[in-house]
Amino acid sequence: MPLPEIANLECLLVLDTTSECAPLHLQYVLSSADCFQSSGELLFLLVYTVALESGYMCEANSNLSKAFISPVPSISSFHSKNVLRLSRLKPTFTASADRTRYAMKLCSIIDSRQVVPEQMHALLTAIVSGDLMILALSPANCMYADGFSSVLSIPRYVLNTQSKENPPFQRFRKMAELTNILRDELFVPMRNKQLYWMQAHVYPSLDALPAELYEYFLKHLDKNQMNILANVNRSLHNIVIRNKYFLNSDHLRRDHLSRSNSVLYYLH
Amino acid sequence: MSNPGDYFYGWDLLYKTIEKDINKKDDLLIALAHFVLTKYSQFRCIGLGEDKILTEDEEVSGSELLPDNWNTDENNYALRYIYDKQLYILLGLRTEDSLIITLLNVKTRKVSNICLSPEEIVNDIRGTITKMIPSAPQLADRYRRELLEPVYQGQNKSTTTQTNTISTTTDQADPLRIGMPMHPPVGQYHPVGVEPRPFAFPEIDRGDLDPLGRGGHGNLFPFPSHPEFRVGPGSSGGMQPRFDPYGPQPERNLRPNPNPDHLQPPNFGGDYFM
Repeated sequence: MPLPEIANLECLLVLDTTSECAPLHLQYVLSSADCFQSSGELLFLLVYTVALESGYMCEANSNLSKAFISPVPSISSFHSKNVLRLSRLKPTFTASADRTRYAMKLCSIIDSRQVVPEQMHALLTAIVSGDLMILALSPANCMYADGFSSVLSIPRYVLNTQSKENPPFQRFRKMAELTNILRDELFVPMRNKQLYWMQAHVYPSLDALPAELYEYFLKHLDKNQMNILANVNRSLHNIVIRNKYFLNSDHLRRDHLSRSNSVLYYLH
Repeated sequence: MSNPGDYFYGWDLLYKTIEKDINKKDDLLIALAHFVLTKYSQFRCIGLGEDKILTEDEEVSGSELLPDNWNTDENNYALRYIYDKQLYILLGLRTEDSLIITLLNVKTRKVSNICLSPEEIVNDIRGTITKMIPSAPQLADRYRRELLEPVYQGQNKSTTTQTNTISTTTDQADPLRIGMPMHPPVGQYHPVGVEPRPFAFPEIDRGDLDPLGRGGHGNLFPFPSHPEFRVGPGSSGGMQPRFDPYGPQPERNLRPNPNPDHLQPPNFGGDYFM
């Protein structure tokens, strides 16, 4: 099914939501909610939508969506087509009978060939306690790693007003603040942790270039400069000492810069 | 049976009071969390529920026991604790194969969580602690580290994204490290199975904090087992608290380390300046 054209380019993410407009993917997610939905449940759906924007999807939908999900590289997390397509699928989560406890299994969308499925899973739980929503994002149990948690004040983001004429998103306030909190405290740290387990580089940087590119600039460095580069960190050290330009240079004569870090020479 | 110096001393007592109530593995994990909170962090339980208002009489009530009906809800636990006049709420949520325990400081709104798999951790709901949960010391340490520390010491563990990726490297051996990581000195008190923290400071004077005087008697005299117990210098080796002798001392005729200048030299006629 082809994707619709986005009419309002000013309103692309949850953080752009105003009482007049909401992004398309948020409208799709809310299509299953009605105007009498409790504030807690609406906030949980908002949290799910921000999770979609942060590179996650519902684990229950992963088989269904394999056909149309584009892989997301480690240096980014937002892929607009993935988000739009996934938002059309009904989110799968369990809720307690009194609608105060929610649990949803999430899965990070990561472009990596060496993927152990458990490394990508995360369990999102929400406990509604009075005015507060206590969120927890936990990695798979077999990873024995810390999770992340956050507390939100429900009426701060979802008003209790209920009106038959107006769509649910008219009840939302301070979406930019909500997005920042969820991303900073939950979704980004968890995704970074998962990328770290897969030894994927999170940010583009000097030691995160594809291997074949190092040839191009190492050949312009003299042996002194190569020594300095080799002393930056272990990853660059291994890259430099294995490079043919370094091996061909006179590396046996140690100069005063590398002598103090000579322990690195023995860490092949 | 556990020894008095054992980390889990007191667990048997707690377990005895709740033995009849426990009917699932998750109950045991919550009871252990309660034990770690009340025994080592001086939290006191003031009841069930999620009420966020702390009344004056609740500030002084508080018990190391679990309240009645603490586990009647099939899928939820909610316990209220007080520490340092602040209210904390411990919440437990059972999902299909996990138990998520959350601790919330109501005033500061700091929250922490730990996610456990009861089927893997708990072998049995009857028996001694090591029979029921073989990895109990490690689990207690996880409770302390993941549940308690982010919330009650005021340290916020959910820091920026970069530090989160680096935090897991402490688990791996670091080939660049020279020498062994600093361990607390052998013989000092610490729970069995606790891993030495990297760059941990040695726990000098740990015995001072412990009322039973484990880890050396610190700067105080050891608790006298007999009222007329007299401690003199040199009663036990190592560092000694200062001791000023009192009462008549035994007479000594021989002067130790005789000083050759004590008496005038023989055939001395004049003064010392000529």
